[in-house]
Amino acid sequence: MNRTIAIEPVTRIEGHAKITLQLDEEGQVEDARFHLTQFRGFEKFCEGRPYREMPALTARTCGICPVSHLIASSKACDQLLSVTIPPTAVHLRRIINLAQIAQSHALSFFHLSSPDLLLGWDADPARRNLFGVMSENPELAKDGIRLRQIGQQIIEMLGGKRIHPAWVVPGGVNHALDPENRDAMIRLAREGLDLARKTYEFFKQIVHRFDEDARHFGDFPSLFLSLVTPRGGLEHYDGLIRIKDAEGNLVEDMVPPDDYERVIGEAVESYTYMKFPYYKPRGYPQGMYRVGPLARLNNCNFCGTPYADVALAEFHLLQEARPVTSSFHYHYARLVEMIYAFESMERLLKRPDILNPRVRARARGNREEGIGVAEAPRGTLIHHYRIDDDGLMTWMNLIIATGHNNLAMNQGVKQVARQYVRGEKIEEGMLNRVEAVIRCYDPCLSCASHAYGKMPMRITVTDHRGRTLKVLQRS
Amino acid sequence: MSSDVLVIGFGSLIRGDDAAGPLAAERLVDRLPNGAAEVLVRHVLTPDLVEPISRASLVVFLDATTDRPAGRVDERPVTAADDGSLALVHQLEPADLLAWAKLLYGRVPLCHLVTIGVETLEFADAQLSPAVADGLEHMIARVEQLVMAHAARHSMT
Repeated sequence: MNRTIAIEPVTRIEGHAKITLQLDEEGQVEDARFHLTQFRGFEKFCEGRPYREMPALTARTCGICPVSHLIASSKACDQLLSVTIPPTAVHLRRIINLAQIAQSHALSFFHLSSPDLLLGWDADPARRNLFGVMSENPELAKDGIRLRQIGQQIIEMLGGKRIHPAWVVPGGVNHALDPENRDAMIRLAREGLDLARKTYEFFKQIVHRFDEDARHFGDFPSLFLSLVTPRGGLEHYDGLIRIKDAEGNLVEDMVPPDDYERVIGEAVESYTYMKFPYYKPRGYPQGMYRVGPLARLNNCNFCGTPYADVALAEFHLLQEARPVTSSFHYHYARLVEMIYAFESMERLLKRPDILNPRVRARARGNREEGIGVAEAPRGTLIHHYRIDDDGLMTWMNLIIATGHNNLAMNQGVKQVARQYVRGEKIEEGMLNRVEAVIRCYDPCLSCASHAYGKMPMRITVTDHRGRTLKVLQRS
Repeated sequence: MSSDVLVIGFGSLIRGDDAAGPLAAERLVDRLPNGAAEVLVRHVLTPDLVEPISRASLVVFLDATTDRPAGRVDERPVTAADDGSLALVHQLEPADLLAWAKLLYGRVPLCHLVTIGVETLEFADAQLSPAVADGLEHMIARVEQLVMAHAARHSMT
């Protein structure tokens, strides 16, 4: 008898989702789907608002990666202003972006995924959590807490607060950096680098325990999309779009971010609030691609900082002579990026112009359309705005890092489920593995729910007693 | 004067009376003698508080509660949670932090939770309802008593 297994909620991720597994009559997994179950509506309720509000508004999409939205949104607004922001403002925006990436990767590795990696997929769920990690390896747990704290402290020193700092603004940043904070941040970056390298060395010792799992954890050929520098280096703030295939061939290279619509299309499905971006020339769903740490490291020719470049070379040994295709190795890539983030932050903080007081370009709206693209911890983030003559938003499109990975996450869930789930006896560890492949992508689902206007929807309006007043439906 | 005392006021500044903890903590910065305590203001309790908590001899948490009449101030000791695995990283309680301090650092300080009953949790901007605004002084005074009593005990030993 066919049946459906629902894993709900999916645990140890950001946001709300469920996974459904459809079993055939023999109890084998026939199909699997990843459903984003939360709805936000940012692209709609931002219409009519002044464009200058967009950084602060869109930052409220998320509490883990608000800086990413501040960066992409402010870059879109920079275009609306038609300004080139001061060089020091670019450096400062880079620093806060890197601090965001470091603390987000620390959260993903230590808090969300380390229980599985240290305690095992089949460990008792009552113990397979951060508290269990603390019992098993207290030093690792302390390092994880400290790493996240360092990233957040740097964000707070720059922006005034850890979450939703109102410092990255259209035209640059709100205020310059002072010498005292600069020196404190250099010390923090050095401490962060030591901890990041320590964690990386630890993970290198255990990663090959998961070689067999890695073959089934979202290991399939796909395209990889990310920003790169003009010389093909690792890039998180600016850069150009590069797409490689699973053999390492360049499919698209040096595409200006403003041309993203030529290469990225979006589809919707009825079972989820998350859109399905795809590589347009190959169509949907053949144009599946992945973004984020795995894609960035697969795509870049170098990192550009010493320890990270060594780690990048070791990363490529996971699958020699071609891109690393197993989604499991997002964990490895995150640790390499943490090293890069701290090295880069220190390098930027030591620039002679980092204390320059000129950090903001001021202008009125001079264009009707603005596009801002940056790399968030989870992948490429796109903010695309249109405004009217009064500077009010008339249209917005957000393509979120996690959304780019939607096709890949669904494929990964299906692959893992087919490998580990047997219908005659469903065990908790099997289902945890299905969840764990999603954790490889470190999805930010609060950010990714942006499918308003294109999918079937039913809205029920009730009074305070729960009586239905009105039902609105779009099929 | 003891300087290993930590006062942590937590709550949302935009949700009505939930701002009581942070607002009380902000006022305590000027009310407590220099060096009497380190005062922290937080939106939520987070894992990075575990290490400073483990180093303290006294920790006082300030929070709003829906379990009491509006404006009523209560105080109770807090002990480490029996099972820290039940803690949600985005929604830690004082007892969870103590459990983690015990596990990671082998040490749990003396700990009190001072609460004030709420009237409303509607959206606002660091604005308290009249009953809670009136009760805030009692909350602050209770924390002062705890900190000064602790300092007096330490100076006698």
